[in-house]
Amino acid sequence: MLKRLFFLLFPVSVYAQTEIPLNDLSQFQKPSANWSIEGQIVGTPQGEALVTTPGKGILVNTLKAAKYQRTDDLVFALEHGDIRLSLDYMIPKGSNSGIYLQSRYEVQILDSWLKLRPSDGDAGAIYHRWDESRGAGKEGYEGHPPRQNAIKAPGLWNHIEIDFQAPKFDANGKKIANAKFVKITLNGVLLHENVELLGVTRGAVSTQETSKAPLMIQGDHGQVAFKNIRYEVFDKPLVQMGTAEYAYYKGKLADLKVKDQKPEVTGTTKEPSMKLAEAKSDFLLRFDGTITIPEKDTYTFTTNWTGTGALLVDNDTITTGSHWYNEDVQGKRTLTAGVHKYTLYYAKDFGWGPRALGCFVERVGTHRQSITERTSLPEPEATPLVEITIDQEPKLQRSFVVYNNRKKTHAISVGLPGGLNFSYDLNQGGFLECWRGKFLDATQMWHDRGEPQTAAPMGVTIQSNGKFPLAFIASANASFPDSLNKAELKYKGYQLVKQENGVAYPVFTYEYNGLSIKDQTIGSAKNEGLVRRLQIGGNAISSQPLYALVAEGEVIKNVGKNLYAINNQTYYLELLGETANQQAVVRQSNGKTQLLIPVSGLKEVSYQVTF
Amino acid sequence: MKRYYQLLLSLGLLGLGASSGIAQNKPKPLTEDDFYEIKTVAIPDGIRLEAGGLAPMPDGRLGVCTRRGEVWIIENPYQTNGTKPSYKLFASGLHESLGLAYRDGSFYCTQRGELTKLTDTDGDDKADLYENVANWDLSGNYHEYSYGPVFDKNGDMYLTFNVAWVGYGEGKLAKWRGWLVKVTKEGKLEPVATGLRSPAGFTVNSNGDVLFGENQGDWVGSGRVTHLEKGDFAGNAGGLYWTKEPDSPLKLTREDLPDTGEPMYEAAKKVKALKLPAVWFPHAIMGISTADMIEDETNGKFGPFQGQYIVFDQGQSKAMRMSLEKVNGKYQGACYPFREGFQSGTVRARWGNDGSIFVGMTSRGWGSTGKDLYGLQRLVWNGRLPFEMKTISARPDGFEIEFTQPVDAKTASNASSYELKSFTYKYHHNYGSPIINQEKTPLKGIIVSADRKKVRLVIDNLRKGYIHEVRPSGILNEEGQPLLHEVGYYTLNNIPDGEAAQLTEAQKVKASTTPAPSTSTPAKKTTPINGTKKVAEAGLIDSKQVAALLKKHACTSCHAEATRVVGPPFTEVAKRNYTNEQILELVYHPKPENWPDYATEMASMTHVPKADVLKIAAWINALGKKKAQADLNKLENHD
Repeated sequence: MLKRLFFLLFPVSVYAQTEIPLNDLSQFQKPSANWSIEGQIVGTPQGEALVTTPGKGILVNTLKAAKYQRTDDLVFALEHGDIRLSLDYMIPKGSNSGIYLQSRYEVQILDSWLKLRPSDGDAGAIYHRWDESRGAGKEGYEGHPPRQNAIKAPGLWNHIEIDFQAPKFDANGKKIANAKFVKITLNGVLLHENVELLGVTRGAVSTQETSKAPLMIQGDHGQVAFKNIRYEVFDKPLVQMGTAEYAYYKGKLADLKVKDQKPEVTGTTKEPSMKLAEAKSDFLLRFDGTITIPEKDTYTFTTNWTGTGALLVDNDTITTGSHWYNEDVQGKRTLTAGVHKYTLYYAKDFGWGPRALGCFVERVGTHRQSITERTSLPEPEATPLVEITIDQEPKLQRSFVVYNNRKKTHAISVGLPGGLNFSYDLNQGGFLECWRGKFLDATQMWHDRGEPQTAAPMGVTIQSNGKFPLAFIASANASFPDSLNKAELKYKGYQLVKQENGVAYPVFTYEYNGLSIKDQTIGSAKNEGLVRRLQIGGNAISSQPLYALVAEGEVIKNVGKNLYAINNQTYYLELLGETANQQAVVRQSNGKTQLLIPVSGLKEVSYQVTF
Repeated sequence: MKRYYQLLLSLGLLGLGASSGIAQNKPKPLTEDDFYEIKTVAIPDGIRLEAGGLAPMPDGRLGVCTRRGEVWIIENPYQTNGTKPSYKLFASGLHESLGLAYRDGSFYCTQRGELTKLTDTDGDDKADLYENVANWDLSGNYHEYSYGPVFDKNGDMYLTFNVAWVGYGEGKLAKWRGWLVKVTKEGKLEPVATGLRSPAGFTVNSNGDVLFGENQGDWVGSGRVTHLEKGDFAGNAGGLYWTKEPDSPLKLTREDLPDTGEPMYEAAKKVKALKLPAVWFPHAIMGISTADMIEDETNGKFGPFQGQYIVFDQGQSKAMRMSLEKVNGKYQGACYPFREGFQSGTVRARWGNDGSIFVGMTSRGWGSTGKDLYGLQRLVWNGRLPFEMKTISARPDGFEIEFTQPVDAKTASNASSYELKSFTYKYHHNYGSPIINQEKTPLKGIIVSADRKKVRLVIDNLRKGYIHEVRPSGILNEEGQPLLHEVGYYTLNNIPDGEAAQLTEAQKVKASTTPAPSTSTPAKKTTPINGTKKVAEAGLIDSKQVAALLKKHACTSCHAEATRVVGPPFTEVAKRNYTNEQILELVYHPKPENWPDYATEMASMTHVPKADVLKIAAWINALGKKKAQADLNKLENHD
């Protein structure tokens, strides 16, 4: 039976549908002179200014440390109530800005890089409210610091996603629901979920709450740049649900065919529900109902069931198959305005697992609406988080690690004091991911029997290439190997080597074509980045020159002395020591840009990954 | 307490008989705890000691590795004079380490994908060197557990590799899954034998032979212990994918296997490499998930079982005993109940330096009768001699039982003291097997040795390849005590040559007195005294009698009246409002899907007589009524 159930591992969802074009400033209300549209922008970790290049696609505030002026803020033409917003932003060192939902509720942008305990004034915070009548030093209140600091180094792009619900009012204008941040993630890290705001935050254009108002960006506290601004607002008319006839059949009917079998029960229901089935298994429910479509559009139907089911609209099959109830099975149809018939089947022919039936409809511009009754689809089981935390000493933890949608089976995650972490493929001697923030989520390994046996980063993550960084290749034009076999690269183990402060850090040891490589990664002085040192000993048995591939990505930009911004400015790579004296090569290879260093004869290859 | 009632009943009735050798005063009934004590090693708050491996050190400390990848060194684990143990975290970060050994100052630990040597080079009791001794491929499937190492005399190491679980046991997803492998001192990995499914426990015995415990599953009708030699195939098809490799010691393929459901003994006639188990452990009766085993080499420090094996069962949180002999050059023997009541899933066991056994436990996600998620206990013999079947050995015409104490000649010579039968399991790709081909093995003669420590049973219908149940439940010792455990299961792969016993008339069993095996418990045990029999017949339920049945049929290994154990409590079953007949049907043909919250599926219990199941069913349903009545009372009282 189990084999019949298909598991959808990566349901695709588009977060925000509409992109605001950044060809000019026409999308904004009376933009002040400090705002411009640029083509490229470059910064460095310590640089207090971003350097722009003319062009299109990037919105930049060039005002530097100006005196507070309300008119420096940028008000969007877009007025919104409920909204999902996603965008990328970049700031230089020390800068400050903010995203004001409805010009009233601020998600803070600030150079909070390296701060270990962010407050309600730091990047990713829902900024506090302000009331001078509370007395000096107590004016700020009801702020929400982020769950952890998730901002990257100055000069790198940050990606934020915000799901916001506007306050709701009754016909008399009385507020009946607070404004709410349903979810905020920064650089993939969940910072807030379902946080209600009792009023507007500091700096709001008005203390008066409203159902619709423009989006606004703060522009009076320093440089900031934005791109990829996308949104979805939820203001379109809803689908109306009609009643449904239902029929309940007994038996193993996973083919959804009842032939001439008589139903045990028939009736009418306001909302379809699996609870109309009497048995725990071996039954089929059929619902025939109507929905009224308000206007012609493309509608997405989502169904969930444990067992087998099908949704037909106007006798056209939208979704079908055998699934577990936590999987969203989706189908789209363009429907005209007016009444449409639907048929919903649900059959369960095995005993395990809960009975579950969910059916939903949505379109761009509306929230998901339920066709089925609320309790017909059970909520997922509550699973406690199993977190591995770092205290004074580094921690290492082997597990499977999901990398490019595949499991790396011989992987180890290393968490360092100071908030930097990395995962490492022991078979290849390569970084998989580096991250800043909390260490490791081991729930999928240590909850229950831990069938996935995976552990995952809990902070801001940079993906690396998983490759051993050294290789003997014919020349700087030759391709670098994707992986090495056990005969070429032999993993020997690791040693925990004590530093001067008595704290022990791992050194991974490999044999590679006669060379003995010791690979150690520690945090830089202030934990700006991970410093990797590959000590090279032994005698090479290859006659080819030795190269180090230190970075790989879409675009690599040289942004300072020995400093490169990698993969569209998602992290920096700095060459250190002797490695910095080599003639670095930025090249194209197999569709990627690579940063290659000739290192023949070097005793150490070292570089820093900063983010 | 349940056992207490059972013994009382049995003794009470025998007291009415003519057994003049028995003392006037009823002896105090004895329990496992009167001989083998379980001592809990205290675990500090905050340490999750999900023991996967144990390694006692020569200096009296104990190394424990856990499923969370830690290695702890416990100083003072014997808690001498009530002192406390002290825990030090020696190593961490390993991947579900399920085996640990200590050798020449280093620990050797098996992680999922690597055998790692852990060494403290700077004397702070913390490993700083994690050396890769050998590693192997994994697919990423959770069921590809890796176990070991167990050292042999040469200093080479054995490891066992589970197959993956993809709805069945699959070996092809990663090389050597489903195999016993040897890793030489130099780190070379050599395949030895395959056909392993879930080999959580294995040992290299004093002869240097590898014995491994198997878990019931596909191609495995029941738990068992098998002796593995190079080139052997132990039964599960998963690992056969790799026999095409040049260094495979056998060439058998999946297509060579008969998948007919015939007994494994029959299949082995067709498949030369197919290795028969030395001892079957009947499923649910003698465990549900065979785990570690250790040979008693304590020279008496652990009691009278030198040379035998203590075999653990993770799911039922218990220890069993196994005696082996070699017949026609092959190991075979018997298993016996030994000690129940450990706190969690007993997965690992090692001898302490004092002849006690350290038992490492975990049940997270696997379930176990012991309700704790993890634990560490010690099994200690207290010097008193239990009255047990020490060994059951095969004879050309039956079996010989050796007892730990002289038996009472009267009960030992009485044919009604014995119940005998034989059965086996199907060999097929399906998961598990019902008991099949169960037949009577009528008793023809009984010879009690002059020293009364041995009883030779001459029986009819000895069947090669079958599991022979030997239950001398009526035998008493000189003090009038019954056996501490009344049953053993002998796996008769081979019948030894030799002379048949010469029976005197007195030793011959009259046909009429031969009890009918494979039916319900003898009357002496189930017939309650004090006239409760009438009550039972009147349709009311005698809970003492049911308690005895639950115990006898091993129901209590997995179920308790009101608390969740491996399976649901009887009170929960009662809530389902099954009829007695429906319960009977479910006992014979369980539907695990009815209980999705339980990790371990119930085995088919068709060997339990219908009458017994119906009594149990009636009792279960009465529990429901009791509960309903109690709830009603509560409501009424509330008013």
